[in-house]
Amino acid sequence: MFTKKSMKRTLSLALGLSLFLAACGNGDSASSEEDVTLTYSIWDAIQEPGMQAIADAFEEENPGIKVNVEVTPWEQYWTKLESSAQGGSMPDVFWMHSNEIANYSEGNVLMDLSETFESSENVKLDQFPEDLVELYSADGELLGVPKDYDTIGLWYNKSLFDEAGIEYPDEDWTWDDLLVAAQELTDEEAGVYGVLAPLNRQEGYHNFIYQNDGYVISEDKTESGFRKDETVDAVQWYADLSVKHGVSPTQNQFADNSNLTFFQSGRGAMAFFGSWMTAEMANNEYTAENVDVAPLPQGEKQATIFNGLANSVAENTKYPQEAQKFVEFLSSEKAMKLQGENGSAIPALEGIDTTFNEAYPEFNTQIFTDQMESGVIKPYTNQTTRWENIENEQLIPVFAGEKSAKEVAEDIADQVEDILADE
Amino acid sequence: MNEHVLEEKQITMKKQAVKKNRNTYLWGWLLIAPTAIGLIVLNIIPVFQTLLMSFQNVSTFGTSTFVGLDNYVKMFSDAEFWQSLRNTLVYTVIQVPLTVILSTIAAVLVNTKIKGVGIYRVIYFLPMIAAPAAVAMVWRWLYNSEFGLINTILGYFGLENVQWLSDPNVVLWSIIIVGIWSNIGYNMILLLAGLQEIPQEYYEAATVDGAGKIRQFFQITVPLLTPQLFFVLVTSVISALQIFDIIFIMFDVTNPSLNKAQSLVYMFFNESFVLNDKGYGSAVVMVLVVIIMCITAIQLIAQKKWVTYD
Repeated sequence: MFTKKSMKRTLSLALGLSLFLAACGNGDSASSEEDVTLTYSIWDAIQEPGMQAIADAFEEENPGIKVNVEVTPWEQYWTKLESSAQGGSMPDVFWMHSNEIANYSEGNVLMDLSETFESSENVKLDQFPEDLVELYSADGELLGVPKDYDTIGLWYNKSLFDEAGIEYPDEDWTWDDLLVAAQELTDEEAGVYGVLAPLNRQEGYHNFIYQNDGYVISEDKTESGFRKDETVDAVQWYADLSVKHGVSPTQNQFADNSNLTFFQSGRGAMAFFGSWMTAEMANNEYTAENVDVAPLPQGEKQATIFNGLANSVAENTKYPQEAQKFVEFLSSEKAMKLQGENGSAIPALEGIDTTFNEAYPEFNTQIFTDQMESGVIKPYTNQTTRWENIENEQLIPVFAGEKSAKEVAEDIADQVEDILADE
Repeated sequence: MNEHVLEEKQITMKKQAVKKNRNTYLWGWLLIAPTAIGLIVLNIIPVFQTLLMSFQNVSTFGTSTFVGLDNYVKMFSDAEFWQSLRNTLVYTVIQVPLTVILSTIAAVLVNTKIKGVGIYRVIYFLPMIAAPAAVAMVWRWLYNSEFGLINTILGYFGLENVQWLSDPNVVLWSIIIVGIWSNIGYNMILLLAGLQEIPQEYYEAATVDGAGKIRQFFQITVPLLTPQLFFVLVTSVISALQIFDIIFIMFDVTNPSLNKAQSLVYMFFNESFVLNDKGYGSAVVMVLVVIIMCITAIQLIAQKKWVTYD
């Protein structure tokens, strides 16, 4: 039975417990004297086999150095990396993303790799996409070496196209072709939609903005593109696929079932997915059989958003030499080939990128590498996630059909520019 | 025996008493040390750090700058904050009473001598041992407007599809239902322990005096259960105000109804860890801390009016 006193104590304890936030640090793993063990931290489980193959090849060439590939899901990856950086126990080598690089470069927790790569005999930096090298550099320091790149494709369901007797999308397709085909493919009674157009930036309307000669953030990173009609019109055109034409499920429907669910259950004839989704399409029984991929349709011009990950090294790693050696190996032709052949991602190294296509003979993945010619780097600034959040919040009513893109454009531009001015 | 000796004896006794006293204190401190240190390091220090951060513009790795009340000023003019506060309070006001009433009924039911009572107790308690994220994931499937079990069942009765996860007028109720479902079991066990402490004689006496079951419930069970009810009420209010995981799992950031669903802790998480504005996030969560402290203090004072201890 509770007594009054013990009750009070329990309650004050509960009060204390109701306040939270915990700082945690990881213990360093001890290593034996001869063997050095490096940790290679990544977030994508689909890419683990490829990364493991590279680690194995590296271990073979470098006896005495072991590499542990450690997968942390994206949702926890950044919180974990951040607290390990604050606690001084970062993994030795790890993946870096364009949304986060500014944060880490300001924090001075990444090793400058420029000397390693200037003096390297087997790897030359000019063999990597220039925009990506620039993205991962700050003040003349190279803080990450491009690992891969990705572009967006128009995935389509061959069976649904055949049934409707429509020709498959090709590189000459325009926005109008997409809309006409989507209208023919939509079958409301069967619950089949011509195209899947959810509120999504990188795999969605951002591509259309650049195809329409608009932009998201100006080149000097001071202005929002939402002051330009080209940008606003493109967003409206994309949103209208669901709002006005009804050829795409509504944003409410996407709250229950993602565009991937629709596509994999044969209820969407066309969908926009990045090259990183190729493995997912190949692993799913239905999509492996029934779908293929084509270039994005063109508006005023052809354009696709491209982005890429990089490998970074912790500034305070215990084994700087070994870690640099490993990152140099990760960027070498041998490792890049392994990455491509395992179908992990499109290798960033020039000339090796096409090895990715060999991993997926069932799909026309060549369009991903071909489209690099019209690639536009995923818009980024130092505070990418903050202005992306503004765009997302403001565009929700547009995708719900409550407001037009024009009505929210000024608000977006004002708020985004406030953030840019603060940077 | 002369006086001198007597005095000396008294002094030694006093010394011994002091020593004994000191020993007791030392042991006392030693015994609570593990918990106390854990509490200080993991809870109390971070609370003050959070308080400090709420007055700062926090940079992830670098130095933080003091900005005074800027974060609070920004917060009070932020519609998102008021909406989150509203959602949290509405959730608490509805979820807590329903949970307490239902868990009391459940406790009384599993306190009877029926066959397989152990199985019922386990079934009620199960949601408590399941990971909240997994629970929310399963509910997300149940709530699916097109393929979900709930709408399928509603369909059998000829009822219309409910947009559990996207209708702005419904989403908060969807969260409340999951909240009640996952908390009944734990509260039930606490209340059950209390029920079993009530002496059987009271009921026998009441039966002799001609009191029916319902009257017995309200005049014997409820008053003697008030200490447990009070405890359950206080902890339920606190955990309801901290609702987060269900929302985080069931709603995507592109969900049009997210702002009608998000709680203060969700907003704190989003600001602190997604948008990386730890100063602003801290300000949001400080408001929650103050609210919880006030409500709990009020409950502690008000208990004198209705809680009966032996």
